[in-house]
Amino acid sequence: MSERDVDQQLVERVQRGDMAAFDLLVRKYQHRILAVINRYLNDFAEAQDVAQETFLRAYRALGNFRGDSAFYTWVYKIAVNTAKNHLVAQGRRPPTDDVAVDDAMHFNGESQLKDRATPENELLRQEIERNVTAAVDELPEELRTAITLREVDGLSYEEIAEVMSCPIGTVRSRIFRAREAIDRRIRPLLSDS
Amino acid sequence: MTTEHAHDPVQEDLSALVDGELDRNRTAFLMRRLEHDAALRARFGRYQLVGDCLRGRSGLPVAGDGLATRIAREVAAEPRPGRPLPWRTGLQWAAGFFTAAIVAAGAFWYVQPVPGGEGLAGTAPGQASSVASSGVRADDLRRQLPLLPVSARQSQPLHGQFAPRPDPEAWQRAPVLPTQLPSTHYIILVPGPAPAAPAPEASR
Repeated sequence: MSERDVDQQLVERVQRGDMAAFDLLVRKYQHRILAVINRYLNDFAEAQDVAQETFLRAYRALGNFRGDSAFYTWVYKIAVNTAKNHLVAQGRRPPTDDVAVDDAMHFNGESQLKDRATPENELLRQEIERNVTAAVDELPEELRTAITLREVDGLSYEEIAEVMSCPIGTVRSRIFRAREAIDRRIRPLLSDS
Repeated sequence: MTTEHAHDPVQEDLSALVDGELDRNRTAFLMRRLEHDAALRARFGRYQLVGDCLRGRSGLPVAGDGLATRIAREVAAEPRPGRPLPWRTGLQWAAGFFTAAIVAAGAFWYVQPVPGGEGLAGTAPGQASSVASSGVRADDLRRQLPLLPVSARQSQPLHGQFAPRPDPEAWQRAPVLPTQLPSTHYIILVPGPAPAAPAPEASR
């Protein structure tokens, strides 16, 4: 199953009344959506409110989502419209330099956002980055290779198994163990955010 | 760092779900578990965050657990979104088909031959049309048309019998014509005679 298939499956579950599936979609895309909105509003607290409104609108409209586009592309458009409407409602002018929808999947917001997040959020972000990097460095070689091939190079389990000359089940286990090791490092940082 | 710890198969399934590598049956099982396990859903969010960090999306602001929790609380108060209605999609297809049918019928009616009309449209069905020479020769046309100045490169492919020759003064000599016809043969389509009727068997 591709990422889009996973999202579509989650959407169908939401349409059948599974709230947890929507929670997973929110948790998956909240950072990217927040980044897109923050680009328009330039205010992190305000961006969180608009992100909440964006996901609520998406939830209400999910009955009409047929999967013609990727879920993230669809939510991205809602986010941009919600942010612009928010600015207009406040008598502020929306910026004209939209991020193209095609670029939205790869939008990382780094250039615009580093100096716009609150100092607390910036500190938290740096702390998480530092811990992720340290945790990856401390991983045994086979776990570090597996998680890097998956997350950085985007290889499938089958391709990683071929590269590392091991069964797919081993790849799956190594990636999970690597994630767990990293998660143990960042979990305390996110507990009260 | 030690990696030896209790191996939870559900958490490993969650990791595979993040990568889109979990089969449908196990996904369905895991989703049922996720419905009632907020900690597992939070873990899913952290796995995504780790992926974002490793993929270089380091500039993303960290939403943390708070935003997702607030959204979940708001969503719980909303009515169910429902699925796209099949009849709505069917209706859209039907409307598109109906429009296309009307356009096709209109076009068919418009191009019907008009009885008594002129030209080919007035030709009776079955009546043969023939192509006859107009009798106009290229030299006749050339006398009436200016020889347009063309570059050597443009004139090369036209070195046949009727190829125009470069003539820089032609612009001054040439009368102003509404259109510039190319130098070539011209044919005119005219309706042909009706097919001959079969001879009566009078000789018998």
